[in-house]
Amino acid sequence: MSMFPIATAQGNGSSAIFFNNIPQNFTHLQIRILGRGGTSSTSSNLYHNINAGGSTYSNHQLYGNGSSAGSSYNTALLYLFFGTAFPAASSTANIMGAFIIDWLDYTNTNKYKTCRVLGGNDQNGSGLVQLSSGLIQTTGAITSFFVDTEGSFTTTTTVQLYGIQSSPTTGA
Amino acid sequence: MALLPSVAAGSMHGAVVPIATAIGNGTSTSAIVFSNIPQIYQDLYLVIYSLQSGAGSLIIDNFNLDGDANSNRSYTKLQGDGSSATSGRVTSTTTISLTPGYSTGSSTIPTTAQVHILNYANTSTYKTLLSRVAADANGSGTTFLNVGMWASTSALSAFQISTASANYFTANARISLYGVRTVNQ
Repeated sequence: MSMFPIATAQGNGSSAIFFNNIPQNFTHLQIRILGRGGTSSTSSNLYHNINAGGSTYSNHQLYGNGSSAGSSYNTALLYLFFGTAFPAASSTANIMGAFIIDWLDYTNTNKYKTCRVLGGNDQNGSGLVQLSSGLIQTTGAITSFFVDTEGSFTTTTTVQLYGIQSSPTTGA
Repeated sequence: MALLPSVAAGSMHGAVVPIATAIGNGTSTSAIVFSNIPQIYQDLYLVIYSLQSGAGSLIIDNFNLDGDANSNRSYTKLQGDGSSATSGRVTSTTTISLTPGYSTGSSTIPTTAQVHILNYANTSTYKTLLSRVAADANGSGTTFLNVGMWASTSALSAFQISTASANYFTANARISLYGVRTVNQ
């Protein structure tokens, strides 16, 4: 397996972060976010849309909030939704949340797209860690996406996009 | 303890670049220190195959070799032990435990961990790490997720992985540190 950087972006405090014209020559995608929301709260959620589409999105979360473990799901959304993802404007300064999203076989046009998500934030007394899944019921290749949060991502937010190759020999 | 520097880091092509690998010496090494970490990557990625002389935690601590003098670490954890899922939190502490504690750690059954430390060289934000740990012992064991926070804006240039309870890493323990570069790095 070889992973290659495709693009990088920073939050600007006022809008979602978009990635367009994603190369179609990798097998998988990985998105790595270190983020913080601008809303007046101690947490903000992650919203993730593919191909600017309104297809049916759904996801499941397994999470731990520091006192209990739980699981939840969402259906029929216009985007993937991952709750309590990032610190926000009312959190202690400089604390960030981290998310790693893997989209598998993103160029395949014969099947729906699914992702695996590992993410969380710890705020020294609050926060949440989660292992989540996401489904978008489209067979179209993933060519663009955006990530967003309440109040938009701060300028300290960084988002990295990577492509993961398969071996042309073994397919591994 | 052998600390093996990476080779030809400057001629890498992919995003994941080996920085160093450490192997336990089987007799006395209870802490493996990674220091002088290059500051040229976006993230750090740590892969741990741990075998230790007895049951005990696996810990990441001693950030920038501060001797754990600062209680500015905290973490939130999610654990499944085969019968139930639980969550807990530790605040204002000196170390971040990557495992549930004394239920794991063995000289024969490995504990494996993958740790991501994002934007580690940044000097404007606190550092957040994500870890995913597996330790299955054929009837016992755990799977464990953790988000940890080091409340420091200093660039991360050193840390250590250590065992608890005066254990040591066996000769088959291996810890590899990688840099994850982004575009233009």
